Amino acid sequence: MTNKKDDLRRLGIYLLIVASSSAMLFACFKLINQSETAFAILSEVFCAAPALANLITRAVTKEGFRDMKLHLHLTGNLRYYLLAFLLPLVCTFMSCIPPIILGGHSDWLGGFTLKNIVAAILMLAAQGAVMSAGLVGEELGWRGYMNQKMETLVGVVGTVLIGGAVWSLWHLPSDMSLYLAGEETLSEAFLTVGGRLLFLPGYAAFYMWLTKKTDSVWPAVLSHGISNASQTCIMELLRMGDIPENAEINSGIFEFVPFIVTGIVFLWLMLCDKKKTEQKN
Amino acid sequence: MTGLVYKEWKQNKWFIIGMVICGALPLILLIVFHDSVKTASHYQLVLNTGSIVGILIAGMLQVMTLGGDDRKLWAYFISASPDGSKGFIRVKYEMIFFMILTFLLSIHFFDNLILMFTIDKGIEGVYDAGIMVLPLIFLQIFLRAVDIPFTYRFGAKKGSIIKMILMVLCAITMLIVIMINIDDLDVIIDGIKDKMAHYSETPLIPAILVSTLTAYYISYRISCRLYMKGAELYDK
Repeated sequence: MTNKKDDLRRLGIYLLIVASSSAMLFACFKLINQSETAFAILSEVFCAAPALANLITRAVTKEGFRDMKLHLHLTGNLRYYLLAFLLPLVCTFMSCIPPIILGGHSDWLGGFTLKNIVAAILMLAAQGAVMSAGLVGEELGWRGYMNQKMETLVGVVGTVLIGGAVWSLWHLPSDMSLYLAGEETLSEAFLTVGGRLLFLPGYAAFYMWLTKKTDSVWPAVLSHGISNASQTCIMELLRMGDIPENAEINSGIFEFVPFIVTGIVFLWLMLCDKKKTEQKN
Repeated sequence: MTGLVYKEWKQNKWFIIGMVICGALPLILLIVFHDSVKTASHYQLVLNTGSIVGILIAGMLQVMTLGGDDRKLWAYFISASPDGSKGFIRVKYEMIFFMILTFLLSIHFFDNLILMFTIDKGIEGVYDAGIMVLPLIFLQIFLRAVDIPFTYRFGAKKGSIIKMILMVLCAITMLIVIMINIDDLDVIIDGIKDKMAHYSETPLIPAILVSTLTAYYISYRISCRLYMKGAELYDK
């Protein structure tokens, strides 16, 4: 019982710090609009906020810095690293390409030649190995701390859903930035927020599964980096083809299907693992 | 394993923190020479010079973390520990890779900061040094992949001398190749520039970058094999 109480207190402090980082961007919106330098500094602080919240909470609550999940744990876990690289790429591909084909625009896919795809995958692998390290600022907080505390309180399903929602809402400043700048309507901004709420819990389940399997945040860091970079990569490949300037690539609800399926599959896998562990005990 | 990480941190924390400072070198140069840096070309010069000098110093600091472990007693002790010499070497490789990543993140942040600062000041035409930094980071990974096995096989001092001799031999060979192809040099350089500019359209450059990472892993395996042989040559 005491452990649950402690976890709740720690989670509360953690979430308060993370929420403050989002609020900070809203509060400084005028300054960000006026100065690019301020934007550069504040956005970096914002991106590192979950990791900073992890460290601050551990220091404030005197929890200590054990079990930070910072070891790579490569031995025996290479298959998880490989999956961390491949799955976001497949998900992004499946969310963009089938709708284009079903919409009768197969001619847009001229850039998807074997040579271009191989080049793009190799570039993603090389960049992912070095550039994704920046995302440790997020993953050290979400997967390295929040999930651990949340799971003891609300279970696996709750962690995926609530954690995924918290992770999505933390992105509010960037999702609302166009609306606040007057370049977007409120309903368009809410569509972006809603879209994120639909697809991030899917990734939350996958990253949580990866972290549990490897006892390390690094596969989640790699996967997060690849998921961000693969969107640019797919767009680059589309641009190489014969795609009209005003082409509408978003396909509505269909683009979220791969992420929702991913979420369900990995949630089910985690529940199976939990059941097995309980049976063993 | 945690103990080895702790040992590396205690032994090399200033070198690791030095990575952040190396990344901040363009900003430090800008602060030092703020009176004479006025135009876009000045800013670009500061950005490029700071980045290159930063990379060179960062590389030097990474190599310096290898010193101090070439002792016979330490080699025997660590090989008898539960993690073994393989565990020790793995932590060393992971730490150096982590140092390279820290440097990359730091230089990316400070370059971006300077770039945003020039935009605020209304200075146009300053470009991100990141395009130049990323290939150099991979070069750094490759150089470390060469450095580490030499250091563990022959000790820090001897290893660096042998590596330097090999590097000079490579440079001479390259010079001879260039001299033979001196008439076609412009065509070759233009070809390389073209490949670099359109790297996403050909798998060659991405394949080179991926093979650099593979080389780093192979280097780890080689170091594991050579370490105990090298230990016989270390001082007590």
